[in-house]
Amino acid sequence: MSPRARAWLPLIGPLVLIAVWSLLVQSKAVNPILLPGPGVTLAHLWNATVGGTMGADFLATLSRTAQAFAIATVIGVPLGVALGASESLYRSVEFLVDFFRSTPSSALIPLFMLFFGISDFNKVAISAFAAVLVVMFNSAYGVMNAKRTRIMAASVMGASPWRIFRDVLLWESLSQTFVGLRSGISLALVIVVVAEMFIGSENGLGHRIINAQQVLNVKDMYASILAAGVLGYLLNVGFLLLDKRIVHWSGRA
Amino acid sequence: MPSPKHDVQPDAQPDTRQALLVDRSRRRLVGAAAAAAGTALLGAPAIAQSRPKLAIGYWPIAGGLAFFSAIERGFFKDAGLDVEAVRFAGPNQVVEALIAGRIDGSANGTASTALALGDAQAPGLLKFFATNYANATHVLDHIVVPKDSPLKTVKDLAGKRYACGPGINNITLAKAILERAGVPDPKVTELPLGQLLPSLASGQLDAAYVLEPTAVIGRRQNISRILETAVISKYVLGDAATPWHGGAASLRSESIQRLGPAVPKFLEAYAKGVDYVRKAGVEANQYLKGYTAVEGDLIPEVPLSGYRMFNEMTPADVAAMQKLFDLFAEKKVFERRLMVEPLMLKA
Repeated sequence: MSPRARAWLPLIGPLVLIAVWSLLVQSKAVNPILLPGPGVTLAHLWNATVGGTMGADFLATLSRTAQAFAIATVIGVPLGVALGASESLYRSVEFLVDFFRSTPSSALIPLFMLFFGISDFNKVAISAFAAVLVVMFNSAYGVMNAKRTRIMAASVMGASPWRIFRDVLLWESLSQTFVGLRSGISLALVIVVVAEMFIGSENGLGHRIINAQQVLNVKDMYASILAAGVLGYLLNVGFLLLDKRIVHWSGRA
Repeated sequence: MPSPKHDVQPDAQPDTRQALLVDRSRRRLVGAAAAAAGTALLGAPAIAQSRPKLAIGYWPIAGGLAFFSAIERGFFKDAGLDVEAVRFAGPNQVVEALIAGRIDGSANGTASTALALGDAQAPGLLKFFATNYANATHVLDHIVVPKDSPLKTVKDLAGKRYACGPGINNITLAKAILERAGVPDPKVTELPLGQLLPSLASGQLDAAYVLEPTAVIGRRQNISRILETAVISKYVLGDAATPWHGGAASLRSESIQRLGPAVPKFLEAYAKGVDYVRKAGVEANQYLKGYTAVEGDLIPEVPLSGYRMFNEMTPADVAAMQKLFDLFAEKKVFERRLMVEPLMLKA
């Protein structure tokens, strides 16, 4: 396949989605009042973004997601690396990490409101909590799964444990850390949207989705869902690019 | 009842060679079973014709008590109707199911504004045949404050931390109460319903707009007290005695056509449910169990809704309901003004 043809490949998925969606609506398999067609929805998304308040809600959700992700990264990466460096330390907290990783964060909303009050920050906090576990877990495993040969090579050459940690383990773990960061940012977005829907909020895509649902404004509801999906996709693409630049040796060593 | 059809099917289409091997008694058995299946199949439509089937959607809140009572006391069965109660997580899901044609109607307790929005999206979708209302007599809506709060009236809420349940319906009403009470530019925080009392208890809030049974729970747990009651009637509708027809029971127009003579029977049986609640009082609350989350010793404390069947609605009732709808149009929750009168089932 020529590189030019290859560049068009990512478009196939969205086109199939739009085709299936329009087929569903046009065949009247679902009531068009409850599921508007893709054309109408995309047009509404455009109008709401250009002339309406969709942009503001998009930015509000993006801002909360970014805050939650920043907190998760600042706490999760160093903690994960530290835990990974000492396997016995990791084993001692493994239960907690896996326990909370499997607990739906949205079920912990009451607990977070207890600590963070009814401020806007509780939405960021609960999302950061969900993301930090994924980030930490992956960073720890990155360090633990570092190639033994390299560690041994460094140690044979007389490197101190600190030097091995700094020059070998940290770099070795980066690839896995990036996997964690990518999953973490997607999770942060999902939890921010859920929190905006169920904790209540003055803005944001989740707030928009729940309000549109309540007044049966299905066009706006699906347009907001699309906007949330686009946001998630863009964050993911951004991370892939960053990953390629920073961890350029990934998979080749 | 075991279905003979299922028992027969594996043997009913045997391979020819196998069929020859089947011994006589087995063949007799298969024959008898097939005959039974045939009878059951022939009998089924006859039964369906004699007992019209209706699926009625409900939201698990106390406002649906008249419907729950009618089912549990067998009023529908006595009228020869097979009524199925279908539970939904919220009023919007009930409305979506009505639009999609998955249910024939909604029980009381389904938000009247949500039903009206459904009818606006699919014109002629449904008719209201009963409403449930709250006012100073049938209490439902309050503003509650922490039990030791120094606040005395709704007017004192200016600049205070005030919250309500999530969603645009709650926000619109919670804001309107304060605005009409004379509080300029009120701020309302949305919180999950279950978080309103804990937030009052922890001092994060000064007041909240709540529906029952939240105020009852708050009093029993010694967290909150009612600052003012019937706040929608008093402030939004202008008089504490005016009924706030917040919920409605409805039938799909298509189902009304399909059911024909069964409709009056259904309405009569439903009216018996309403009548039972009116006469039995809080004793009727026993039927909240299983249909709502209310359980145990909370059951007798849940206040009763008032009900109006379609043939009891007065012009004043329609006007009060219209006033509520107009607030939603004024606040741009409705895209345009929606009218109550055409939505009501005519006697």
